[in-house]
Amino acid sequence: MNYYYKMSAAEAARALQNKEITSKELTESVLERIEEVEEDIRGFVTLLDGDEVLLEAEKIDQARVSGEPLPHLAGIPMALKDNLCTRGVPTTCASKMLQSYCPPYDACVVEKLKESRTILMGKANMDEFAMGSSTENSAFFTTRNPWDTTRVPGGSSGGSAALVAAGEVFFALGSDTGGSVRQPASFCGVVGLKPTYGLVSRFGLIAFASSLDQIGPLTRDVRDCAMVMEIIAGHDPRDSTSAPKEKEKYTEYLGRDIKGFKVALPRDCFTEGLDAEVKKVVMGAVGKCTALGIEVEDVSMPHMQYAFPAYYIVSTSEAFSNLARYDGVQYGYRADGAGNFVSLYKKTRSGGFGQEVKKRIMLGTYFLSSGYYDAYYLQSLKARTQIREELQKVFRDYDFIVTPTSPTVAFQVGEKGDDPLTMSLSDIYTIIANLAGVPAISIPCGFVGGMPVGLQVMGRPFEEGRIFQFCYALECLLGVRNQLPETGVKRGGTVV
Amino acid sequence: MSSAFEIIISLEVQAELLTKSKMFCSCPNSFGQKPNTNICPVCLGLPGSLPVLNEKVLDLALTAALALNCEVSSFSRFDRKHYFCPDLPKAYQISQYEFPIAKNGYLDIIKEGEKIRRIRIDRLHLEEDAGKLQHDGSASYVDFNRCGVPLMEIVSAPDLRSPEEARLFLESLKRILLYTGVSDCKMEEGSLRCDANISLRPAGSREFGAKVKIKNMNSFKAVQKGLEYEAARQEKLLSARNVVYQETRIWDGERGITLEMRGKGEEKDYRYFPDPDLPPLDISPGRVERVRSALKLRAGEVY
Repeated sequence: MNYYYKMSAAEAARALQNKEITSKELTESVLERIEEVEEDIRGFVTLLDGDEVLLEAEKIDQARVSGEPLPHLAGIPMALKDNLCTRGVPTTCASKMLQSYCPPYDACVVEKLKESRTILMGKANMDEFAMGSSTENSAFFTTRNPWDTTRVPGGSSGGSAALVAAGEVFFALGSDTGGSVRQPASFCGVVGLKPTYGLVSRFGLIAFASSLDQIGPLTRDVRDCAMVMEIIAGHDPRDSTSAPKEKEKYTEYLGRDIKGFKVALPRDCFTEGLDAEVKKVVMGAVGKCTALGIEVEDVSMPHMQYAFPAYYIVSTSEAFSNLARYDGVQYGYRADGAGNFVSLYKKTRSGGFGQEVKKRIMLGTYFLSSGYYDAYYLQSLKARTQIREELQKVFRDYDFIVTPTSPTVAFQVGEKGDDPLTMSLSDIYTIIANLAGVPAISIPCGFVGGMPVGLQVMGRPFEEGRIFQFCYALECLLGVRNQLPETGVKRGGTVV
Repeated sequence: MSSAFEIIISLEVQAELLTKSKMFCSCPNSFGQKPNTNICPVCLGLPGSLPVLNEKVLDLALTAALALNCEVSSFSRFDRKHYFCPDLPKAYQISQYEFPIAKNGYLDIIKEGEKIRRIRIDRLHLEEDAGKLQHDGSASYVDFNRCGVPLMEIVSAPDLRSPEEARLFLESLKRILLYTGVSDCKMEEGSLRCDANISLRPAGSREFGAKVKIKNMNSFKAVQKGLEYEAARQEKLLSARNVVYQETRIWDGERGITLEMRGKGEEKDYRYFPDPDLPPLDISPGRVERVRSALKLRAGEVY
């Protein structure tokens, strides 16, 4: 048993390039790790066949030996959230509705990762159709937090975060509609980025709320995050909301001086609802920023109070529309015993969707009803504009806005099952970035009771490079990077 | 028709646009292929697929809008129109609701030797076509080939005063769309379709009566015949002091009658909202001018 799986993606890539190890050895290490912990973590919905994965690794090794130029992350094992379309590999959205669905095409990001010769290990668990904060809404099973398997990994990209934190893959992709990359990253002690809206193509991402959804990486450290973004960012003519931007070398920002950066601390984010211990850890990290020559000031963002209702109206309305296509006609789950179209729809949709998904479809159906549109949807668009303008105003004077990623550390499995609103409130800090379309990252900044705490940094649109620059320095200063849970996995609080 | 009643007619014309590819994907825009062979993830609405507007569609719609003397909107966007039907794979149609491409145009029709009648056009908007359903005994089949074919809908004001005028309007419209190369207007292939709204009111009255929508009229002659039948039906009802219900009826060409189609008074809620996958349409003044001068060039070829 080797411990190659403990390296970051960048470290592993360097070891491969220096021919210190082979892709095959790296993949074997990961496969062994999966064998060791996956039974407890349950991060994969679909795990690809080990022999085929190794075959792919060997091909990359041969190419390397023969001197063929290879992309930087060639031969690095990774995972994809199960709402990213993969040709010929089941893509389920963790829903009974798509349990047997195999897309005939690859998502844009999947094409890019394939061109980069990274190795797909499997598809990661999630809350059904990305609706939830814990993976407890998966129609299949709940993924466990590698730091304490009695706790949730967060969500909706909980499978992706847990797999990265448990050492089962080097990085993973998730999707973030209201914090679905950042919150699980925070709960699992890894780095998670929601890029600027339009920076990463949504082509092939199974939509939840189209105007909020963005694909983002979950990684062991900031450098890995920058490296994955170099692969997946960029204009895609197949997505009309994709920004016509030149590709950027994000890794070039790492290590640059950060003196003179100005950080805004919205005081509305540090009030009620925030766990006192989490606050202490986050404030401790913020306090250290000043040591780097960074100015930190309190700001007020009064429109934040509209973020939650606006998010709920926009996301459920768009979900109502995006999920209307699952009717049992063309693909996916189809209920038996329907005598006509209407009964086919009713039976299929009643039987194929879980409770949370149905709840949100019903809400969206209501918000868009004739006579209610102006009162709800239109109002929420106005609130969204105000929130965006408020952020723009802050970003005129400050480079970044820093908040906790989540008001608490990872909660217990089942703890919030009966109270869906509390669960949604744990997204409170993250939804602003989706509503405003700005980039936001979560990086580990310490621990409370052995559980990781995440710090969120929001930046100006398309300034991911500067976010990496700042967070890389912060990461060095805090000394929290690529930390995996010590040995094995905690089970019910005891080390095994 | 006695002179006791005045006939009020408006038309909703749908024309398929003469583009090489479909509205939001690169599948060919063609007719008559084997079922379900002219399809892709986008027009099938597969999970994760996204629409990208074929810019030719917008140019053709602008051409029609200018040829029909419309005001071109400075802001226009696509909305989603939701309804469940097996031939609609996304369960919504990408259409236009609040902000159509053009409004307030007109078309002049000329009756034999008589004076010109100017028929106002309310709006002109774009939408994607749906597939086709085929029923065979207890089974139903869907052909998705037509999904995503670009359609332009032209809605006239209630200015037409006889079934004959309705036919003349369609003939003029067809001439313009053919001549400008916007559509091939083949009613038998379904590339031109027409629904009609018709109501009667006592001569001299200023209020409108309850209107009936008639569908499935597959030729210009059928439009005139269907409207003549419906006008007579309504006149009979009104003369006997019976009520005309607002409803949708279907024209049965073989029997020469209209039949009840959709339940009376059933208002559908399509839950329109702006399509978040598509940015607003790019209708710059420069683009409109480019289309206008191309149109003038064509006019010069003839006159």
